[in-house]
Parts: sequence; structure tokens; C-alpha cells
Amino acid sequence: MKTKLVVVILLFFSVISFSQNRYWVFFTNKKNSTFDPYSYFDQKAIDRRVKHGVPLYDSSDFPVNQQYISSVNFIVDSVNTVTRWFNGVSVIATPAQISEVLELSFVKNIEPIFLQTYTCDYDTFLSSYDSVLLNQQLELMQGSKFINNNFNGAGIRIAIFDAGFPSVDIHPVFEHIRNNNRIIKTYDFAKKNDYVYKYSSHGTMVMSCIAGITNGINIGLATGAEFLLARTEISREPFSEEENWLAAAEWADKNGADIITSSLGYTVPRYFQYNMDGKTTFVAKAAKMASDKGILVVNAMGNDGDANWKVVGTPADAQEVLSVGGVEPDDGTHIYFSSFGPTADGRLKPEVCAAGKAIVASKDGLTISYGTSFSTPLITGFAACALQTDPSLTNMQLKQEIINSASLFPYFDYAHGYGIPQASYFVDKQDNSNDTTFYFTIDDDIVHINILKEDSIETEFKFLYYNFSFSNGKISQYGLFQIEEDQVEFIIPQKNEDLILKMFFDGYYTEYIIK
Amino acid sequence: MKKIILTTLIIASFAIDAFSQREILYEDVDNYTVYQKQKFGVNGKYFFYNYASIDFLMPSVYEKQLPVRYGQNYHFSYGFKFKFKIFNWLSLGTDFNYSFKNIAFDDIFLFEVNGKQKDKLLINSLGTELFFRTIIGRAGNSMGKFIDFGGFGSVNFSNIYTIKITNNNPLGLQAKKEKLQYKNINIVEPFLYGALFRVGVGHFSLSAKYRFSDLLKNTALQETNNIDLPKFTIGVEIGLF
Repeated sequence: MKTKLVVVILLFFSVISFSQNRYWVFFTNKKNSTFDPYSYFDQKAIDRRVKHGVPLYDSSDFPVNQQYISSVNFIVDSVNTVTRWFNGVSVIATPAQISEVLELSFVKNIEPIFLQTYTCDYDTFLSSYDSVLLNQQLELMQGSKFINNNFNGAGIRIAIFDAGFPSVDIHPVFEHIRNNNRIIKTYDFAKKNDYVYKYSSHGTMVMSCIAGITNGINIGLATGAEFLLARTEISREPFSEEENWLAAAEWADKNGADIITSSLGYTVPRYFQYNMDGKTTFVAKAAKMASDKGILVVNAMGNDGDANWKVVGTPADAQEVLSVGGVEPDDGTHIYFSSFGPTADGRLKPEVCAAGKAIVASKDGLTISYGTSFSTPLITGFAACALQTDPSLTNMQLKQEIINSASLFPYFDYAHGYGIPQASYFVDKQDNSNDTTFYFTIDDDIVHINILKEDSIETEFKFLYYNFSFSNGKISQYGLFQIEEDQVEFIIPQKNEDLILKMFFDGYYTEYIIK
Repeated sequence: MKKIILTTLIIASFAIDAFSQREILYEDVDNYTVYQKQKFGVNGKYFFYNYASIDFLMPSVYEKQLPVRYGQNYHFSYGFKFKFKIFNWLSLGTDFNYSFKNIAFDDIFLFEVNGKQKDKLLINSLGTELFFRTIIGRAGNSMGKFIDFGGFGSVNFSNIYTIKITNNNPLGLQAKKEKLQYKNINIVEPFLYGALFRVGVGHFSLSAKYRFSDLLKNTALQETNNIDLPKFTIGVEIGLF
């Protein structure tokens, strides 16, 4: 009998030690909270809100009731993150403590926080400086148009969420930023201090793709922008990363960020594909909230294109987020690891693409890196320059204009989105459309394409993009031919409903309804 | 006939050359998007997987036990687990396994022979488990952190009792070693049952099992003053999925 007792006690302690967990605790109201936006917000944040028509006295910005926090803190093991936007706190607590918290009259509801994490990985190998690649990563977006016209993101404030920024305080690639005191604020949301210049060099690489300069040559386009650096990603303690993302977004909002760039994503094993609908995950909700405050959120699609998961991660699944895929820098076609769309509810993702292989600043030099982690900051730099060309654009207008400027627009597919944004759209006010470059006939179930401009085939890579879509806009099949001859054929898939054939070649877009 | 085949091949090859096209990307969206909840999967409605485990006998200070060499006692199991999700946080599981038990006695057990002897009992059994699995937190598309509690039972279908004898040579020369084996000796209960508890993360788990039934038959227990083998085991399990 005594042995049985020992077994039960052992099991009991195992349960107790095992079941301590993290939760979001949300409150019913913000009673007794006082709020002065002029002391809380940075002036740039106030300016952005005025521009976007976001009220300065929005209740979601009011502080959380301190008495509520204290009451919860009295019960649980610890309070980690306080969120004004969602009026709550994240806590570490046992189920018994959570039951007690739930009984508090001012607690609206409690949600467990996922326990497993996946961070967007990136592949890096050392290489010598490659000027051809450096040129390609910007010229895919016609970067010289911005550079030659002195658009460098000046006056635009960019918040970078990443895993660490070692050497940003000493690396020559960022000297022009440091010399002009354009690193406005830094914060490590994992360690709760201001020092971010250590840990993973992923953030250093990302920042160089936004604003780095090496030997007078741009690595990114927004060399004149201002920066807020937030460390939100952790390798050893993975539980709090989504909380950190939210906390950093509120911090970026407070400090006047125009753009948030986040080269990270959460997929398997934390989530299922059907969770990628932009409404389910907490980090997607946080990204939407940041967008509602007037901030353009730019996020990486993920590097699962050749993995089982294959599709977009979160928060890139959020509708308001400008999600960025990766392409080959030499020809602009989908790079093998870039995650595909659509979202679980059938929306197009990615919106745009940029080079998925880039020259970046590493902790102690320059290197070539692969990943949508680097496509994203390249687009962020582009977005800052685009906003500089017309500062009156709201965040959603800016997002739409970037889409309109893209190389394939109005064509899209789930690998390339609308293509690669083009600076000429903003600088010269030119669109990318072209006269007829091909014609097609349909014979039985085969589409016959005849290319008209043979000269262009010989001089550069040319690709014919096609997709078959349903009437609701969702794509059923899509593909891409490299044009080597003047004719292409492909088969029409058999479906029970009408399909729309959409095609794009060398600036010419057309579509045809197949009955 | 050969000419016709050859001509056909040549014409076909020219036809291919004359109309070369290179499709560098083709995707059928239905082939890679699974946007409905899956019935089968690690954290789906049903999940079925192989596993292997090893458990070790543990001493107890609260009840008398036959002395065994603890480091050399193990139960190795290989089996199949089936998990049925009732709620997001609770599943019902069952298990079918083959188990090999190696019990090394630290003392003379059945009968004494001349010389220094080591007694060992090997048991082959088929077993089953029925357990509830509680998921701690949300596991997403993974096994997550879990706690199992339930019961187990097994049928012992064969056993071998081995006595290793080392005879000391009176002249101090080489010792003589012998081995006696008794198959399916009638000292082992055919059915065993008990309670189990497991904590795990993903593929790995730690388990504790307590056997309520006797392992030795009454006839054997009479020889040992009703003292049975240790009933408590602790082990590790790896899910092969």
C-alpha cells in the first residue's frame, strides 16, 4: 500500500511540474486608466496617426489597468508581457492558478499560448564579395532609379523585428546610419533591456538588405531611413516569441514606425496549414492591429517551398501584411525554397517578390545568403523609397501601389505574386504594360501560344506565365515556360466548372474564359 | 519491321526537336494545399504509430522483494499504438506490443547447485495498454507535451530459466563454466496487469509502471516466503513516427 502511495505522490509531482504553462489573460475593460497621447507617442507616431485618420485617443492605446495586472500577478507565477492593444497580459501559471484567475470579475477570457515554435531558418554559406549579385538584387527592382533620383527612404522610420543585431554598432556597412544617429531606439524583448547588438546575426543581415552600403555601393535601398531595432526571436526560450512580436509592434507604434519588417514566420509544428487564414494565429491578429494603426507590415513568406509544409507561414498570412516571396536574382523566377500561396481561405500570397539570394553583411564581413528573410528587407527598403516619393500615401495605399508597380501586374500566381516591384512606377510614373507580345488559339484541350517578339527571346530570359483560375479568383493550376522557341503548348485541365485562362509574357497580359 | 520502328523513332525525335519548350514551374494547387482538418495525423483525430521502449525494475523500501541485479534487469518492448482524439486536450489510446523481460536474480532462486551460480529468467509476452492521453497546452501539428495514465495487461507465453554455474577448480587452474536451461518452467503467472503513467514530449516519453498482479506463481512463492519480484519499473519510450 505504501508503495502505491509513493507512486501516486511521484505522479502528482510530475503533473505539477509539467503543467506550468503560458497563457494570455484578457481583461473586460480599462477602467481608471488615464492616457496622454502627447507624452506616450513619439511625434512621428502622432503624425502617422493624423495622416491615417487614426484617433489619438483610441481606447486600444490606453494603458492596461495596473490594479488588474497586480491582482493577476498576485495569483500567477509571473507576468511577462502587457498588451495595450488587446487589453491583457501574458502569464506563466499552473492550471490551478489559471482557474483562480478566471474567477476574477474583470477577466474576460484566457487563451493558452502555443508551446512549440518554429523560426524561419536561413541558409548561409561564406563567399567572396560578388558585385554581380549585389547589382542584381537591387536592379531586379530597378533600384538605380531610386538611387539616381535621391530616393533613399529619408524621413521614413523602419522597425526591424529579428533575433539579434551583432556588429550593427561597429560594422562599416552601417556607418552612415550610426554617424547620423538614425538608430532611434533599440529594445531586446527577450532580455528586457536596450542592448540588441549580440546574439544571432540574422538581424544584421536583414538590416544590411534594407540600408547597408559597402564601398559606396548600396546593399539595400533605404540608406537614408531611420531605424527601431527590436530583438523578438530567441533560440533557447522559444515560448514567448509571439508575445514579443506583439510587444515589439506596440513599441514600434509608440515610437513612430512607418514600416515594420519581420523576416520570420511560424508554421509547423506549431500550426496546421488550415490555421494559415490570417485570422487564427495571435501574431497575425497583432500584425492586423499594427496595420490598423497605419503601419505597413512587411513579412517573409517562409522557406518551406521545397518542404512538406510548402505554403505561407504566419503572420505573412494576414490580409493586411505585404508578404514577400523569393526569386532567382538572375532571371526573376521563383526560387526553390520560397513558400507558396494561397492562404487557407484562398487569398493570394505572396503579394510581391524580391531576390531570394543576396549579398548581406554578416557579423564580420560580407556573405551570400539565401532565404525570403532577405527578399523581405529588400522590399522594405523599396517600400521606404516608394513612400518617400509620395509621403501622403497611407499604409494600405502604399501596399497597393507597390503591388501595382510589380513586374507581372495584373497577372499573379501563388509562386510570384504580382512579381517584382519596379521603381520606374514611382519615379517615372510608368506602368509595365506592353503591346501584344503573343497570340493564342485553343484547339480541343490544348492552348497554342505563338510568340511575336522573337528578338527579345534571344537577348534575355523571357518567361510565359499562365494560370487557370476559377470565377472566384482562386487559381487551380499555374505554370511558367522559358521561351526558347516561338511556340508553346499546354493542356487545359479538366474541371467541373468554367476556368479563366490568364497569361503574361513580356509585359502583355490577357485572359480568356474556357467554357 | 525494324525499319518502321527506326523511322518512327527518327520522326518522333525530329518532332520533339522542332517543338522544344521548357516548363520550369508547374503547380496544381490541390496537390499541396490541405486546408481541411485532417482525420489522420500526429495530432489528428486518429493516429497510429510504432514505438520501442525499455523499462528497468526499481527497488522499493516499502515491500519485500526478491533480490535482483538492478542494472541487468530490463523489459524491452516493441509495439503499435493507436490514438483517438476525443477533445483537443484528451485522447484515448491503446497499444499492442511484444515484450521481452530479462530478470537477473541476485541470489539462488529455484534450487542450489554446486559452484557459484547466477540465475536468470527470460519471459516472452504479448501485451496491451489502455490509456488516456492529456495534451499540455496546444500542440498544433505535433504530438506536443502529454501525460498518459491508464492500465496494462500482458500474456506470458514462454519463458526460459537459466542457471550459469562456475565450478572452482581445486587445483587453481581454469574454472569450469556450465549453463542449465529450463524452458517454460511452471513458475510464471500467465497474466499480468497493472497501472501506467507516462510523461512525454514529441517522440520521447518517460514511463512509470506498477504491476498489481504477482509475477511468480503460488508454487514458486511458497519457495520464497511469498516474496515476489519488484513491481515498479521506470523506462523510456521512443515513438517511431
